[in-house]
Amino acid sequence: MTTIPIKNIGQVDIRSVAAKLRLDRLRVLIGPVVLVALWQIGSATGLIPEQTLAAPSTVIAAGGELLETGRLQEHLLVSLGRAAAGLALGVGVGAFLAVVAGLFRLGEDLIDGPMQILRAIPALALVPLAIVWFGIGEEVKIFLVVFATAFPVYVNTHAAIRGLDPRFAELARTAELGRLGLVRQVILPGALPGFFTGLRFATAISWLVLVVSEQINATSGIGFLMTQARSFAQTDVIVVGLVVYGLLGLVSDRLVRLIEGRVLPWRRTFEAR
Amino acid sequence: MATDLRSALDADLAAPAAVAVRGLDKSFGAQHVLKGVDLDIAPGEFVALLGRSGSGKSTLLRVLAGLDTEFDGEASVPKRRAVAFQDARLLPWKRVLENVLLGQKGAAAKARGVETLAEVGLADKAKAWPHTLSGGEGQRAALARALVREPELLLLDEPFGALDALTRLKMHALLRRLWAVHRPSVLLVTHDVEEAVALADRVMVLTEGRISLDARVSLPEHLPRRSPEFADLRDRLLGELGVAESER
Repeated sequence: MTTIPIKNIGQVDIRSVAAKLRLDRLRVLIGPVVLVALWQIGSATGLIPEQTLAAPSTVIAAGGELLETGRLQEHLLVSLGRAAAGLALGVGVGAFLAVVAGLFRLGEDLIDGPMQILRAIPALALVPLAIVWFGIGEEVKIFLVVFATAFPVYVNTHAAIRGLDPRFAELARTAELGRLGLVRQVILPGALPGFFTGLRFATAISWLVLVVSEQINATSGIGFLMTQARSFAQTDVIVVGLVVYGLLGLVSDRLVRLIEGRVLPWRRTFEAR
Repeated sequence: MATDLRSALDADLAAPAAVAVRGLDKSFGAQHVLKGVDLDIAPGEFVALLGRSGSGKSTLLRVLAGLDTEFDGEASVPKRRAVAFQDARLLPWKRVLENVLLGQKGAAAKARGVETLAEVGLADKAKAWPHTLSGGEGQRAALARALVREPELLLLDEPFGALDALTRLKMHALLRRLWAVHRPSVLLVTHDVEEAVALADRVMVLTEGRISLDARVSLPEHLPRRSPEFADLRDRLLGELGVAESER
């Protein structure tokens, strides 16, 4: 019989693994750093003309100037306000409709069909109609965000309620929880993970919709800042706007995840200890 | 009435039966699952119901649990009932103690919950999330949830079916201990013959929707599982369940 030796790789030290993970995280930055460096070199050598794309150093300078004059903060605040208002309303509407459709047969019949049909319409296709209804004020931007964000929250929350294990409903009966207890202790907490999935989609979508609506008809907001920069061919300011949008998306997603982790500590996740 | 007459004649039955089932009939569409089942369980009696898959034993339990309300015939059960299922069925979003206290209100209930958790050996898991429990711990939590209601009738639907053999033996001992303390009537539905004989005072076999065998279990106190009585009854029950001698 031939035997083979099993290689002894020794014991795995958790601390060294953690240190390696931290290093691995830094390695993620290598790609972006190289890219920005190439971009800077391209701009310096004239390979990338200033009117096509400003150099990273120019972008940083433009960002600093916008911060100094306070224009960036001013427009950022306006955009944040719109996103927050639209998101709050949209998420509220989506969650409410999902719960009604999830709990009542009549609600399901009345709500789910129309929602599935409306869901097929891209929110941005509503821009002309929204302008006819609301003019070009704040309402139109908030309306578009509400419309776009209600659906992911509705769809995911509704699916979570529908997908709850019926054995839990049986348990609720043997524990004599009653209808209200079933809803409060079983259905709503069980639907929360689905709700958060929807919320994360909704948050991402809210920026998307805001970008477009602020570029079409606005006198304030990050989108307006970028449109204005376009008329003066200030590519540096446009890139600043792009970076801000990117950061907003990133930060808001992290924030929702953070809240999710706090609200749902019972979930079996790989992140959980 | 026949039942009254019988209780009057039977000196053993001081109190009326905890469970009384007469001519219980139940169909799912064309499938006739229970065909006129009669069943009495005395207060504090431990009854095991054996049957092959599809014999209708779980259906009978569900009727007694009030989970299945469409049937013909009569069935009366105590108001205070509790059920434990094959899966622990703990709500993942409630901590273990909250799961035990499901549907129970007040400080007295909470104190009872803490006490019951200690009884099943999970005192230190009160604040744990269900997904951190092992299979045996989950089932013990489910038992605690059933007992905290101080049931007069405890319905157990193959509660140890998903556990490994060693854990199952420990759970048997725990269940016997808990039953001796709380004294509910118990209906244990199982397909494990040895489990039935080891735990119950009385074993019944459900065959094709009818009770086909009803036997009292009397085993010696010392090492009951090794006694000849145990082996005899086990063989009889296996025979009734259609397991050939060469397969036992």
